[in-house]
Amino acid sequence: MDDSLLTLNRVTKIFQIGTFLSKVKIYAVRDVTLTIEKKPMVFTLVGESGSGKTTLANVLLRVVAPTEGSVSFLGRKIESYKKSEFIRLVQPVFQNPYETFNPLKKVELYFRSVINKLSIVNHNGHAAEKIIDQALSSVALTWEEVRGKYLHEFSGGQLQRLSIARALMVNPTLLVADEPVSMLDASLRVFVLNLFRKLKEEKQLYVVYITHDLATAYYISDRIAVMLRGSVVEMGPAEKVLLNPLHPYTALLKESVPNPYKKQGESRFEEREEQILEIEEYAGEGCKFALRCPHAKEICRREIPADVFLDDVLVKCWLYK
Amino acid sequence: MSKTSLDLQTTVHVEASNLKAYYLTEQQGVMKEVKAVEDVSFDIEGSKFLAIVGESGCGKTTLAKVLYGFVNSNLSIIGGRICYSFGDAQYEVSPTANTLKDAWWKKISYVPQGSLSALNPVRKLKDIFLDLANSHGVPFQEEKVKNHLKMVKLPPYILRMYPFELSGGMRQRVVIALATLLHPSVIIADEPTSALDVVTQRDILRLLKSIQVDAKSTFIFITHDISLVPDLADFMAIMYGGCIVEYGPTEAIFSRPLHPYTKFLLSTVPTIGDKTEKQPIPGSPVNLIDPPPGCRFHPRCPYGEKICAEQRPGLVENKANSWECRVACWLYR
Ligand SMILES: Nc1ncnc2c1ncn2[C@@H]1O[C@H](COP(=O)(O)OP(=O)(O)OP(=O)(O)O)[C@@H](O)[C@H]1O
Ligand SMILES: Nc1ncnc2c1ncn2[C@@H]1O[C@H](COP(=O)(O)OP(=O)(O)OP(=O)(O)O)[C@@H](O)[C@H]1O
Ligand code: SF4
Ligand SMILES: [Mg+2]
Ligand SMILES: [Mg+2]
Repeated sequence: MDDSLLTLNRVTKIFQIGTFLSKVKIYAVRDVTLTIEKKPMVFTLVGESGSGKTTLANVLLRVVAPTEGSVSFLGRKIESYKKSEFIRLVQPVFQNPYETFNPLKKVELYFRSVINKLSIVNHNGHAAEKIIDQALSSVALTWEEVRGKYLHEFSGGQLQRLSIARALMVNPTLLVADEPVSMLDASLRVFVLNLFRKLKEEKQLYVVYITHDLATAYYISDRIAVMLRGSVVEMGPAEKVLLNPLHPYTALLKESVPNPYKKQGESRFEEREEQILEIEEYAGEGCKFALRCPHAKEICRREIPADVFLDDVLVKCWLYK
Repeated sequence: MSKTSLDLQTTVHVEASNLKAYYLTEQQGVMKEVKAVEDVSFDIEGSKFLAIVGESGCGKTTLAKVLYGFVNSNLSIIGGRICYSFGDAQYEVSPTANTLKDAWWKKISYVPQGSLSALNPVRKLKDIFLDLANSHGVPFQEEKVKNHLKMVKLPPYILRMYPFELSGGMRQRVVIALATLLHPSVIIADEPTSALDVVTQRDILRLLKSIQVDAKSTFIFITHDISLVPDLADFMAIMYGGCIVEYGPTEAIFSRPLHPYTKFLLSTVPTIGDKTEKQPIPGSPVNLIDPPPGCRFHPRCPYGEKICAEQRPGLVENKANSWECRVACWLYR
């Protein structure tokens, strides 16, 4: 236990939502147990939209409190850290860069306040600007482009990079990056992913990388956890899970990745005549994939599959026993 | 819902010639021009799927607006023109004329970037469909709308719901249903899947393709993600810094990219099974307020010659290629 960076123990987060049908409970995160070992790595959470990735990240970041379960960081419960202590260790890159910065404040103020808080240098000085410029250049931006500007004067991709630069200025141990490259084109995407790789190797940075895109996940991940409507349904070394997915849902995610060099061919997943509402899947009693799975059996709809280990890969699916 | 141009089997012809469109923007008290669309020409005849691909900020959305005649005092057409011929009727957008507005929704429709988040949040979906039909003098027939929803694979009961009650993918289907409700023969869709996860994205792309094929319509699809284009588009245009730098059949461009920018673009796409380090394109994107002279890609191009910095290469046919490709690069002269 103590030689881990991060441990989640049976974490559950329930939301109550009102819909056109009635009030329902959603297990946005359901009974998730996982460990990130103490060896710098990129740990990736993948899953479709609405699978609970951001909710899980918010639990790690102490933005939301879990309904049940606990999270430890470097051997201590996360709640036991003082706020100032915690933010030096764990930094977020939030999914929506438009919500990261206040539209009424100049974006540069966020950078100045980091310098101020960490008392790196006097934040008014010329030295401060130099540090900011360095942080910006790591994400291919310059002080010239940022100085004096407000939120609406940046493109989505620029805001994403600003939010990464700000988080990295703190030199955190763990970066929790929620869809950090979704608004970037292929070239800038590679630029940022290479930066993560480099920081992992040179500065022993740990990254929790959240995405729905298995191609970028393959490019940088060491370990991967696949989320489906709140649960982790497959987890293991990224190479293994992505090259040879066990869970039918992981296979669907993999098949959906656009690959310009491969003909799409026939899919094993037939498109449904009508779309399924997300809450219908959340409400299912058994495996949350049963409504879409080509292998679904009677038991799949009734009971949640147990954890099965095949070597070092965890899978939750009735196909494996 | 009424008999449409589609049923008449008219051949659509879209012809853009030397389109030039600039924004006016204020920078530190001085008015400046953003040269977002520069000398764009292409030609589509009949039912085709064209993809326009390029990096963020290269002018794709601006081009889409111009193609739809969606210009205002802030964005103006400086030169060139775009003509649409729907067999029985002609429309054009140019510095002096904009008749395309009369054809909106019925003959040509536009799905703007981010439109799945722009559905009126306080109106039920039924009312949104009703508004569209009414504003075009078309009777609203609920049964027909329900059938139309079936085509985009939405259950009829969503008409009783509000947009926020639907997932992103379902909202995008609603947007597509609205855009196709009056059976236009040309549809311009700007990044219709970039806010969606990969699974939903693939479903939506299949849907768009099947609509194009079944309705024999013409699609202009805009994306920053080049990996979406195969299996989808018949033709593609690569845009860089406001200009089209390469144009041709999708297969040709993928099997033999000509322009140095296109080559870079293809080499940066990560795929499962390949962990080798990819190199981003060196240098930074064009500043469209003050674009470099000559070829706009020359400051980042490893093959640049003297002429590249001096004169902008036009988009010319490439004879060396058995495909009908066009490229704007001095290396191919
Ligand atoms: N504050 C909240 N109140 C109620 N429900 C919520 C809240 N936050 C999330 N949810 C619900 O929890 C589920 C998981 O959402 P979450 O945002 O964690 O998914 P995600 O995997 O991050 O999706 P995306 O890829 O779209 O960001 C969804 O059904 C969502 O509607
Ligand atoms: N209303 C506007 N006023 C002034 N400049 C604008 C305006 N809208 C866009 N621009 C500028 O015009 C250029 C082209 O923008 P456009 O939105 O067409 O890019 P894009 O290729 O669609 O990018 P993305 O992939 O990020 O959507 C950019 O430099 C942008 O900053
Ligand atoms: S448990 Fe059943 S429904 Fe779920 S993925 Fe496995 S086979 Fe499919
Ligand atoms: Mg999320
Ligand atoms: Mg755009």
